Amino acid sequence: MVTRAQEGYISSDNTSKNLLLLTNKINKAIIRIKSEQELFAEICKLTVEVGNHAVCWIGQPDKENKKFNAIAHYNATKEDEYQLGSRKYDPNGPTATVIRTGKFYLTNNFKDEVWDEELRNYLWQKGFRSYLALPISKQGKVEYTLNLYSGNVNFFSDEQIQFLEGISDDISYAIDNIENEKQKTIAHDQLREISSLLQRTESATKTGSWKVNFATGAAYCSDETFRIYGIPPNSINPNYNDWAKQIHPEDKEAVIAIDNESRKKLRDTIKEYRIINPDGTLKYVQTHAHYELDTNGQPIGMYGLVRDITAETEAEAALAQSEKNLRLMVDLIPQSIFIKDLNGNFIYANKSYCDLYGKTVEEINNSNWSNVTSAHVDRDKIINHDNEIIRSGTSKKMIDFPFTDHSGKERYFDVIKTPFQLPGKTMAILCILNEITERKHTDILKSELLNDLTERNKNLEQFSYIISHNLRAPLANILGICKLLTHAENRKENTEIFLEDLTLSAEKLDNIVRDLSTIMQAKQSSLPKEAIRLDQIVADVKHSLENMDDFHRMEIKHDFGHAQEIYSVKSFIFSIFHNLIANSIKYSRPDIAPILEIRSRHTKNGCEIIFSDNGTGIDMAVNGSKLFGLYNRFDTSKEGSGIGLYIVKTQVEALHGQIEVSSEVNVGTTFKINIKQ
Amino acid sequence: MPILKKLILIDDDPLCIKIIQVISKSIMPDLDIHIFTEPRQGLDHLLNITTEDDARHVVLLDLNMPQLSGWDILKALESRKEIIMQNCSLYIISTSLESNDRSLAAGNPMVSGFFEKPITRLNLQHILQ
Repeated sequence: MVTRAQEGYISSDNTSKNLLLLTNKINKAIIRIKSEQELFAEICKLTVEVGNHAVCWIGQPDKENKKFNAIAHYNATKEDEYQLGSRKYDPNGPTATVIRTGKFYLTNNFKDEVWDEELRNYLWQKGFRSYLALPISKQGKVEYTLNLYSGNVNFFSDEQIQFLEGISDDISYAIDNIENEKQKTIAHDQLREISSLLQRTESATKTGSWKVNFATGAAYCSDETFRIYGIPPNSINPNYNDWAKQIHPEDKEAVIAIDNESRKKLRDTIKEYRIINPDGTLKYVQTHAHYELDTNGQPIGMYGLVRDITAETEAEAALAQSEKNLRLMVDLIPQSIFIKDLNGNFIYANKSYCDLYGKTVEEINNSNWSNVTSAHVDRDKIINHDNEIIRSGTSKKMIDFPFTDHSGKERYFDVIKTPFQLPGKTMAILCILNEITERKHTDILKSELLNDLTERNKNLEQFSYIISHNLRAPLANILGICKLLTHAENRKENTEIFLEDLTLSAEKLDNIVRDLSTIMQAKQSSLPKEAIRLDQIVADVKHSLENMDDFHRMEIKHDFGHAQEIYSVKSFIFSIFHNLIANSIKYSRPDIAPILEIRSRHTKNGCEIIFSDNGTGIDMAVNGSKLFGLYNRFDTSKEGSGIGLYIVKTQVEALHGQIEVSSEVNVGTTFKINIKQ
Repeated sequence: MPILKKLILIDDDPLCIKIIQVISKSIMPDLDIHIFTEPRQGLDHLLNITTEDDARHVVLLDLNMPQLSGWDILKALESRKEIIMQNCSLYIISTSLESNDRSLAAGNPMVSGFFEKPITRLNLQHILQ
């Protein structure tokens, strides 16, 4: 069997010349090659081709996987590679020992080796006889081994080893350099990235930076600083006076004063002022300046920022203007508007609202609702209402809300309240009051007018009815008789028959005209009032009714103990008593002794007079609604004009009173009159 | 044509009735006149007219009466409308000047005519013949 060792691994002796050549070539490679991996590959190649070694590989321990990886090799078969490198890691093996100790490992004849019988056998079988492992360090720590094999026994002489150790040191130095270069490149890249990031940040935030060294006078300004001042970056070597030139004339004195002051005390400053760029553009800037001090507290330089705040300053000014405009509008509208927090503190109130209290906007805005609101307002109700709005999160209305303003004037409002979110999560109440006082007054007037018109219309209808029937009835009879008498036939006889009727009809007509006159008078207001003794009125009425049928049967009792006297219109009171007493007499029952009781008492607003009889009574279910109507008579068996109760009602109402009736057939009737005084 | 049997007067105004009576007697001396100053009694009389009663009656009905108006009586007669229309010529007599009353009367098939008071000889001649 022909082995590789037998074929060609038998190296010629390595002469000094050879070793010098190898060192020379490796050094050139070190200078030329900038990558660790490439360098390792080249070293393996040179060691075999120039250094006459049979196989060369560079290994690195892989502690995690307990392996020793061949990261570069030359002239090794796949099997060699496996057997030499990727075998199980032996912590006491030659490579591990080199890594641990940092010293070379030498075998000049595998026959004498004992460390790994299997590997030794393999190597022997393959024709390898000598082996040298050298340490390669990275950043002062042994990280790799350079492994050299030869087919010759005793291949590695002392001189040989000395050269190879030198080479291994060179390689260590080289890979340190490569690593340093790499780190430098990374650092440089990072620096460039940071610098670019800073530039982008400065540009995006419109913030420039600057620095001055007092010792050297060197000043640095970032590109953004130049841009803010409208100067091409680095086109000038800037100094304080250059910057100061651009400060707006109106701001210049103040800015320089601050700077001078800060210089004395070495105090940091933050300033906002206007600058004018060379092209005339006005800008607002904010500058930060800090002193850099040495260990003795002496200034050695300054650094700082300059920020272009033109956009935000203008936005703020625009917002302030917009708020001012809004305020102006809200103060001009007639509705009252305010916002108060849950403790009742005013957050906002417009002029119209403040006017309700006769206070200025400033006075209201610094006060609490409960301290200014009208004494007439039901506070608890309002507070409950407010809480309900916040709880439910919905708007609520209050219609016809009464309010007494600072001048004592009673006013009415439709109020709408809605939850209002203040900055943050705090809730408040927004309230808008729409004044409806005028409308309310107009409504009342309208309603009064409508009632008045309705009443007048009713009266007109009534009047039309009276003319149609009651006034025309006697008139028609008179006309009928006259026509009859104009007829020649039986004239004398008819004249006798109808003469009395003619008189009666004329009297009837006269009575109706008198009744109407009484009613018209009652409708006229402001008749003179006087103190009236009720017992005197009863006596007068009784006297006037003396000739009536049944008058003497009737017992009239009265009890005015509680209200002997009233203050009213005497003719009306007489007429009311007259009509009601006459009615009681007229409608008394023949089967029992008729009694009428009249009582009076004081009420909250005036006086109540009650007439109570035991007469025939009225069927209220049938006639109740027509009882006080004009010319309504229910009992055809009795004489009557049907006007009495109508007059009573008209007169009671003229005295701002009310009349009520309760009655039962064959039991009696009670009239209750309430008169205001 | 059935012969005129009687004149029925329903009116609460005695004088008005007296005038009609006097005029009627002078036109038709043996006329049978039934007088009701109580509207309730007048209604009862009208309700008692039957189909067998083949004489023609003339009814003069006043509108404005207490307790029961002329309109109330007409309403009450509604159920016996056919008999009334067959046997009676019913006229409204009223002091009313309101056109509303006239149109109401014209719209009622039981009513043959409307006469404004005072009732004249000419009216009665027209009614009775």
